[in-house]
Amino acid sequence: MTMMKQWVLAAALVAAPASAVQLVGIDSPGGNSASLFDSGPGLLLIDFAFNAFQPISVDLALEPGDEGGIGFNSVIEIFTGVTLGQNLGTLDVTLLDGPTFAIIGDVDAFFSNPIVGVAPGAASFRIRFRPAGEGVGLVLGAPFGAGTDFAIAPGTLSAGDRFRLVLTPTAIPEPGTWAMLIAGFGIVGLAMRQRDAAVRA
Amino acid sequence: MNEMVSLNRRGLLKGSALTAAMAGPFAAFLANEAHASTNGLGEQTAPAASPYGPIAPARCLSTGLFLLQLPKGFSYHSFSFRNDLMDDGQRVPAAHDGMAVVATRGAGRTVDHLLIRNHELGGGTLLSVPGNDAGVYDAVTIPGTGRPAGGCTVLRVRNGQLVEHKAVLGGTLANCAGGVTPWGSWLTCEETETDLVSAGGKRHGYVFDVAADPAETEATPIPDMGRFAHEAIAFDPVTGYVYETEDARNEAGFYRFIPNDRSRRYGALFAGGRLQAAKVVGVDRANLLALEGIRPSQVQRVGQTLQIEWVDIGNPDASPGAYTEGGADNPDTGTRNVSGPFRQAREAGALRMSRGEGIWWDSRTQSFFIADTSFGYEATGARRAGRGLGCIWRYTPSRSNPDRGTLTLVYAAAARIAGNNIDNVCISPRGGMLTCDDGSAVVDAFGPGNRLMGYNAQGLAYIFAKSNVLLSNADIAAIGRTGQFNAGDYRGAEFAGATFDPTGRVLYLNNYNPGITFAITGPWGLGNL
Repeated sequence: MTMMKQWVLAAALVAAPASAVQLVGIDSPGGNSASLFDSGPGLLLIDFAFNAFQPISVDLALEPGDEGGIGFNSVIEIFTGVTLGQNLGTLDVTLLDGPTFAIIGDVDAFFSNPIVGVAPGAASFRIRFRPAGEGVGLVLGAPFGAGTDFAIAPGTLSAGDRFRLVLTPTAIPEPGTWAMLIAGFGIVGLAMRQRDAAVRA
Repeated sequence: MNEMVSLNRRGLLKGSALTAAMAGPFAAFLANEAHASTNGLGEQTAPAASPYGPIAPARCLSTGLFLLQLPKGFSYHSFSFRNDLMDDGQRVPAAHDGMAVVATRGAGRTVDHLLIRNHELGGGTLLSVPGNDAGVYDAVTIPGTGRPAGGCTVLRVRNGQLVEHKAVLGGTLANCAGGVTPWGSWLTCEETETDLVSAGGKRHGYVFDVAADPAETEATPIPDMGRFAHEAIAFDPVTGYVYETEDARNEAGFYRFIPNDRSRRYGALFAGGRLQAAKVVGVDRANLLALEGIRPSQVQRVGQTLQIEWVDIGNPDASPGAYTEGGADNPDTGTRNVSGPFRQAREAGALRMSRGEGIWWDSRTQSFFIADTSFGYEATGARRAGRGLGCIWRYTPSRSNPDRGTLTLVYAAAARIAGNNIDNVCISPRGGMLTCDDGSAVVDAFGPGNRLMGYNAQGLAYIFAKSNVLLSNADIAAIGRTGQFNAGDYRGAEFAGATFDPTGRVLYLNNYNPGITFAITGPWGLGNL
């Protein structure tokens, strides 16, 4: 099944005043969605909802007031199991086109114990869920007040420049899938050995 | 010559949990199909395989204790334990029973779930509703017993964790189960007929409408819904009629209430209405206590459908009293003390169940699913009817004739390992049915402990989860609750109040004793829940 890209123009979604990170566009295939909240200067509040194992990409533009750094938090809702019946294994959060994560904030899942693998200064970090799967959602930073927000360092970008934030979920393969993969290799190996034996015969 | 080696890939994947029926309960129900885990009458003798796979003890994210056995991938929080301090200054009452998510509230960038929970208590400490004296029904003090300690609490849960809890109704008795209203409140049911008038109190055995906001609850009974040992209720969203179960062994009617005011707002039911009882068409005083065999019955096997009509109950608030029923085809003869509505129902020819329990509306099948917790025969001794392991009925109202419907026996348990006195029922937003066992701690492949059962499309029960509540003094101290309840093996205590949030992502559930509420989530899509 082909997932159509869905570019959403900013006009319908931008609710932020001037001097704040501006939303340029969202690519959210498979029924996924992203919502930008009333972010102030130097603050990015954006929530995501996943309905499919497809990445959500958000194009943003720096505004005056953001050059010193951007605080970032997010509420991420995960519809794992409703449509796909698979466990969420990892969630990658990636900044493209220059910025990096100067501060790695809190990562709190509602129903699992995720571990975060990255060092501050990187442009991407991975959240791994333990036990496998997060059926409800998680927060990055402190959207409800308590905790530590992430900080995005713009790097060499200046007002008017664009960057992209991408969230990429991946599923842990089902045991049946692993078995199929292993069996598939075994089938190929068996076929090759039989063919070789037939050739030698 | 080359040979193409063809292997059956599915054969390599025997036992995979991927192929799960996505249909609702009993969607592919074939009443007369023989199955390895049913007997010749269609009763289930062994649990079916769970589409979620085997269960194992899982660590609670809130306490670190292993309180539940769940399938792989599921996780949970626990909160609002008995005697925890609530936000209104009172302690959480014991006996966590029926419950439902009654409303959701936006909370900034997330959504809170509001749950109302029953506490099935008799005499003890009165639950007050601070700031709302009208939220307490009967505050009488009975020397040596205490005050009516039953009632309801409201919980606000955000992302699986408790935000606040407080009392919302007090002064009632034995609040067992109930049902959600279309206007976002909870109808709580008193499972008793106790009369405290002579002690200066009030009569009990009623249904109350409980608002989600403690300031709005009016502890006004609704006598027209009947005075009897209520268990649960469910609304028909098309007609606005309310269907009710009665939990009185072998003296249980199946009722419906037609409100005078069908405006579907808080307070509408206080205007009263008409109470009716179900009757099998063409059969006077049908007995639905067990399959026919040892005793006479109107139902011979699982899958049988009965035609239903409704008879009026002239005085729904009548007091309980003596009732004599005889006849060769009657399994329980003689004079018995029955509820006023049941006596009138029976005199009008209505049917009887053994012990009506949970009832839930299923929009997919446009039907109600009703549990009778002791349908069947006792296992030994006199083999009396109405002392079995339980069954599930499906009542489908006729839309062409509102005074008719059909009642089908869709499930019956013939062995405790398959069904252990089915009690509360709920249906997930995806159309899957979940029931709470309320029998003794059954020992199955996963050890001892009461269970949550799911039902596959063929109508066979599978084990979804088990209680693992086994608490030492060290455990209780570790979670900061010393003195709130005793250490002990609580695995035999029933689950109750199973309810999903509207999105179907979180299952809320109560452990009755010592009294714990859980929020559970996981890969629901792997199965049919």
